[in-house]
Amino acid sequence: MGKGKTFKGGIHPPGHKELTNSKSIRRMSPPEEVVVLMQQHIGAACQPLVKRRDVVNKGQKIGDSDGAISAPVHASVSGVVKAVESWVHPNGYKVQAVVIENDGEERLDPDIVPAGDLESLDKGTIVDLIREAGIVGLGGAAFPTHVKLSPPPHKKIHTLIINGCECEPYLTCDHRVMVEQPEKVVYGTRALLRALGINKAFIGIEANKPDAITAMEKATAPYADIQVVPLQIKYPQGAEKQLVTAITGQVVPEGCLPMDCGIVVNNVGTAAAVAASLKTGMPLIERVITVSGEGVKEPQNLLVPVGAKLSDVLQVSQGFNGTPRKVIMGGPMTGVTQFDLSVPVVKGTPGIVVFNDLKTATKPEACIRCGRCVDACPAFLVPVNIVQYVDGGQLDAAVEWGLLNCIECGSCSYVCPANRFLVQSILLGKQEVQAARNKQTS
Amino acid sequence: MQDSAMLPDLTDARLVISSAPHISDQESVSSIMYGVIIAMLPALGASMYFFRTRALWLVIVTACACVLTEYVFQKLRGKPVTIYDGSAVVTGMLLAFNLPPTLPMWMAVVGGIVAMTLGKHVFGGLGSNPFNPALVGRAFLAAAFPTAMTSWMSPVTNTAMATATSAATAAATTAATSAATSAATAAATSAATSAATAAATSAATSAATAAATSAATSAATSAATSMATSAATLGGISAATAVDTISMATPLALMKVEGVATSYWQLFLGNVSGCLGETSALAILIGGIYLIYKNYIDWRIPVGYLGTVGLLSLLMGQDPVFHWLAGGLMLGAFFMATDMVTTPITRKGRWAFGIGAGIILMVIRLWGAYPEGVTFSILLMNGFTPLIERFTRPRWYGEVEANA
Ligand code: SF4
Ligand code: SF4
Repeated sequence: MGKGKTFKGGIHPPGHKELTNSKSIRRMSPPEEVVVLMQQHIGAACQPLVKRRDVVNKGQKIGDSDGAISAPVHASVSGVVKAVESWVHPNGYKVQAVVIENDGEERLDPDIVPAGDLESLDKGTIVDLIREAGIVGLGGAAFPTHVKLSPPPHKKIHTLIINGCECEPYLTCDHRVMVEQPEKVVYGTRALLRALGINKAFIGIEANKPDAITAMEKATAPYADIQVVPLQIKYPQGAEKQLVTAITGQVVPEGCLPMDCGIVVNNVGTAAAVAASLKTGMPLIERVITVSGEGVKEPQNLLVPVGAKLSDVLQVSQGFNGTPRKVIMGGPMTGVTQFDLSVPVVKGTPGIVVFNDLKTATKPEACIRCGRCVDACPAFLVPVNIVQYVDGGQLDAAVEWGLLNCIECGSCSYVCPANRFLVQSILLGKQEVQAARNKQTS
Repeated sequence: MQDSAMLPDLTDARLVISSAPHISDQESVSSIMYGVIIAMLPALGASMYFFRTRALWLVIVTACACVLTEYVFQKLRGKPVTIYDGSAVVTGMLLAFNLPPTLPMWMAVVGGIVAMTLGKHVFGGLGSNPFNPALVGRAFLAAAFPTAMTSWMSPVTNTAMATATSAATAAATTAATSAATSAATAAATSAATSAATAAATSAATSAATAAATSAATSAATSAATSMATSAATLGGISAATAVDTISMATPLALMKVEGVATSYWQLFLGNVSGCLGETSALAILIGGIYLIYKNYIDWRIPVGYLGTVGLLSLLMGQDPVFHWLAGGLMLGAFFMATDMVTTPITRKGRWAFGIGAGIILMVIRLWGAYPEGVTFSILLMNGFTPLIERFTRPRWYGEVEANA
């Protein structure tokens, strides 16, 4: 459990971080072909800016959108556009994609120039640079970072929180970034502070990463406005609102964002990406992911080009160790199972976890009303009752019991001794409510 | 979809698609049930020490009756058989713990059948029953066989003939089978005063009549019965040196009817007469602490229940320790009132449940005709559980009052 601040509720799943947490980040050699999806973020999908047979440079913008909430995408290798076609997104739906055949020349785009000294950049410039670099939240949600940095004028931001919890089991990419590139995280944090025009930042790190805490404390020592906060080991410590409460004690009211409380939360990986693109001018075309689980021969932390296919990444990890039953994009608590290994890594992919067996039961038993789901819920809901209403078709009652306030962390399903599909039913219920509301308004 | 470099050993992979989460903790319904069974072992040990093999047999017979009933019921209804989840064994053991050691076996079997059918399966089985099945079984037995259900034997360890245990047990069994008359018989053997005999006889008659009547009227009957028993006991005490241990009032009855207090130490150890598993507070505490430690029960219920009883006894000028240790309160607080299925799911609701049960218990103990009220206090609160849950929904994270 450890010491440190935390939130109420939550669970303690075994971390399995030891598989990779002491392994240095390795760079994956760029694959022969990358698939850059036009939707790698929350918000409007990009339109392709290139067509078949076009020659593209590494770092060249190949997709963009006019949408207020969106982020451009860039070529992660130099080469020839093989196709512009629809492809399966890790989340299961199909989106447009630019398929690039790597010519191996690593030809950099001429537009790529370092931004210059942080002190010489003003607020607006930093936000624009971050947008143009296509930076989104690397923790998994992939919310465009520049949008977070541009709050409406009436919302006064006072605090920046850098999320270094990495509470999902197996994942260690953020951990390694903090240990190996602490100065990058700090540089990115300073850039974010500057972009927000504030001078108070906390870096929250779970106590199971003492080396990361030490490294970050050392790197932040010269900066009085950045403070490292050790947090208890608990899932979902890295959930945005839970993290805000753990660090500041503030509760984000329902229907509001941390922004409404004057707080902006960014992931450590995002901070490092901001630093990298400001320093070199290179947009977000690669990221660190953790490849782990007993189903891969060589669990490790890899720096992979965005658009690298799952099969290529697994190949680098020496392939499967036995017969895989589940290939999960993301961590085991919230990740999405894959059936097609040609799915590419996107900006929001924190890792790939492979299991050789099912670690969850497939047949639910009768609920014994033990209340474990209630105790575990970090949103203080009564999952069992909400699910009863959802399953019974009583959506109004489900909403009255807080259906829409579920943060989809999966803690309830994790603890349920009867193996009931709680978060799964809640998700369905949320979709149904959303569908009903859309129908009403249209 | 484009061809991708196939991984060498992927050919026969059957990848499973499922919604997150993809891991779960190791606890299961049956592991919880077996945990509860383990927690009952100290109390079972204590009852075997005090009441010898009689106790063990009663537990085994009742548990088997419950498991078999569940099996037959589920088979008849064409439902999946769930006897291995351990919940039927838990119900059976708990029911046995709530029976007098002298109860005829066939009555225990009837209690088990009622507990599993009326208490559990008519509502749809595990998780759907509103009332604690073991207590439903017990309440039924108390209504149907009031005398047998309030005929007590003194612990074997208490008697002058402690060494002749099997003889004592056998005697107890024989005596108990003729339940309606045993009280009177015992009273007679004791050569008590005519007043006592008269009281016993009239009480016994009323008990016999009432055996056929419904649960509603049984409380009054039981009061009469317990009076009979205690009258008999008085006789028993005077004759204790002569015969053995057949009939003995519970400490609560002694207190209520005769104003005789039993020593704390005897109560704590359980060296008193009473239901099988309820006498030893020590053994129950060991099991209860294990349950709390394993997170199988919520400490709020026993603390709320016992706390309320203690507070009310103090307010009423009674001895709280006596109220805690005597009767079935300890067993009820740790094992019966904490049944997950029939108690509120919310933390606040669990406080409410414990406190409510404590109030009802004290009302019954202080003003009711019945010396004991654990069963009814818990059953009543079971009935309130849905209501309590509705009023104790926790405020969710960031909840904003609807019309604030
Ligand atoms: S954890 Fe499972 S069994 Fe327990 S109350 Fe919740 S849904 Fe029911
Ligand atoms: S109900 Fe939602 S927020 Fe609560 S534990 Fe389940 S998934 Fe998490």
